[in-house]
Amino acid sequence: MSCQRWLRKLAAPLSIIVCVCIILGAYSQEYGHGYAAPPLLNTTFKYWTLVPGTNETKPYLWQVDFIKGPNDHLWVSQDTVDGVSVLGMHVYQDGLNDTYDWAMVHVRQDLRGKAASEVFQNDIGIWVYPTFVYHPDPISNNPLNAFGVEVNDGTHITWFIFSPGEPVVYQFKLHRIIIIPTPLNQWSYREINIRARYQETDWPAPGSFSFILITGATKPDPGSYGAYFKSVEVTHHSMLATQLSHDTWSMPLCAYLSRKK
Amino acid sequence: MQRIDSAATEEFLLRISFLFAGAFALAEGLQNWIRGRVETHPEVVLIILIMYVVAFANFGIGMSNVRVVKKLRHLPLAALIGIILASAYVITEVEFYGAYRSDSLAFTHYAAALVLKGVNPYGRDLQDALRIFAVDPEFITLMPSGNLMTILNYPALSFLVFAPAVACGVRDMRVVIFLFEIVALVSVYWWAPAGIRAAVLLPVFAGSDLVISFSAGSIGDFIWLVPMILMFISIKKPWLAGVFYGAGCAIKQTPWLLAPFLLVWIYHESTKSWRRDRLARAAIFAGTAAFAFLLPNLMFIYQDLPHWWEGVVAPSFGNLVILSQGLSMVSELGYVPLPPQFYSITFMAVFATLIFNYAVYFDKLKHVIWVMPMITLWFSYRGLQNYFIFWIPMLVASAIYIYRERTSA
Repeated sequence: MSCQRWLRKLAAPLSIIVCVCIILGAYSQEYGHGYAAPPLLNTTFKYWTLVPGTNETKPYLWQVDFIKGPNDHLWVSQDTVDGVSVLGMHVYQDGLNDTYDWAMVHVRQDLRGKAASEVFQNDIGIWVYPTFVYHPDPISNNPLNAFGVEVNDGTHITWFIFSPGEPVVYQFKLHRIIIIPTPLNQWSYREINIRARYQETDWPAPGSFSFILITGATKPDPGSYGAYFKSVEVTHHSMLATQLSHDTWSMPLCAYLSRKK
Repeated sequence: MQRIDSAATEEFLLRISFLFAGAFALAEGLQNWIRGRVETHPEVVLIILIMYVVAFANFGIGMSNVRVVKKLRHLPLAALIGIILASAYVITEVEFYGAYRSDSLAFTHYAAALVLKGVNPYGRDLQDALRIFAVDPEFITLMPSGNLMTILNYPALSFLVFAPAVACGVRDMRVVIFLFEIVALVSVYWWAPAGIRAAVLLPVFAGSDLVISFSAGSIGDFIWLVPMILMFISIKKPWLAGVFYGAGCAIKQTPWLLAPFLLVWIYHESTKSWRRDRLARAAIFAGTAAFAFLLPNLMFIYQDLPHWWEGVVAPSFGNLVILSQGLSMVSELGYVPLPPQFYSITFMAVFATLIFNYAVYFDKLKHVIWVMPMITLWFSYRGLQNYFIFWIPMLVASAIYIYRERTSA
């Protein structure tokens, strides 16, 4: 009986000590691993909300900008492709000589601090469905149309363009265009790594930047364009060329070329 | 020391309940004036005027002679329910007309509509519900990938309970939530012996969050609270208590945390019986609870077990972003760098410690049972206010239980 009484007396302090030890153990193990809120939000373009002051809708948490001349027509919509609800970006470039060269849709998230560094350092996996081929100007190499991702840090602009063709890089003074070979009219998964591209040009790592999905065409390349994004995800593993041999297009271009040789 | 006269105490409590109802009417009258867009909604003006009349009437009656006070003893309850309904109208029909303020209600409402069309909602992308019910973006649940949570995350009774209302053409399921809320409040009130009835609702009405803001804001926790209250009222009959508990668990995961504590309670409840009888009582409780839980879920388990599991059981183990008014708030806000895994381990350690101590010190901790899930959830990486606040009616029920035990002894 007295033994039982002792056990009863010890049960509470002992169990609390064990509990505290477990918590302290977990604390020492996990401290510093920190909690990072997801850097890109609504990565599958769900829940379309009204844009204030217009009848347009946009994917929740993404900003939409339209750059266009008076008779160009741009819109984004929640389309269904192959039975999946996706972001559709549509452009009609009338080709008339108006103020803007481009008719272009931007769907963007502005990133700063931890979110910016997460997206900058890690691989970004993107499901894309291009429907037109990228055209550069044959003389100047300036782009005439575009479907891809723009990273804009306020000084430098990097375009990752998804289009059939060879992997080519067009380098301008503050603008870099990287063609990532992607077949037309089908879903393709592509990975990009912004840090690797910045390292290739010795551009300084930005503290903040806009992550922009783009579709557009210039006056010399008029017509209707449409392309689709299914999802964008930060894959949380730093890109090393050797680790990604299964997908050559996700490597830095120099790594790809050296491997080809 | 002067002994308390029970008749005088009862009268005093009655008067206090009148004053309380009057004060609550004044407070909500002002709130409705602020949120009710009175310039364009004349009906809200009328509601506010009536609320002030109700306040003055309660003050007046509460200070009247004892005969009037006793004759109108249930008036404060009626007044409080009236205030709830008035404020609910202002919030749901004026302030946030046609818009749900939680994704959970949008998904369960939509799931009820799908079930009525013969579609299994588990595993389906329910994002259309966010648009249909104009869910306030502030209250959309995010996953660590940055994606929105758009699948059904609750057991089947969470949406089956709405199916009759949807079938009858009710467009706003907050009506159903308020119906359950009133049943919960009246159940607790009527279960209390007459002498203390006047006081039992006071903790529930401490602030308007629990009785007005949460339900009007599309938090449906009163729906699982009704079977929990009925479970507690019938706890001396393990089979019936088990049925109610299972039904509560089939609505939302929150009551699941009570299971080990309730088994300890049922086992220890009858101190005079043999161990075999006690085990049998606990087994009956567990069996009927499992039956009541599985019954509404069975069809969906049969149709698509993996998606049912993904929707009902998997969310209990994570895959959501940290969002908390509990301890994990320090990491959510970046003050202490700890990941959700730390809080999951802490949650489990605290839960196990509380179960162990509850079993060992049942004689001392018996009625602390409703605080146990609160404490446990406070250590979780998702410790939201509704995980704590909705246990208050159960604490009141427990206080009534203790009073009944004392007075019958």
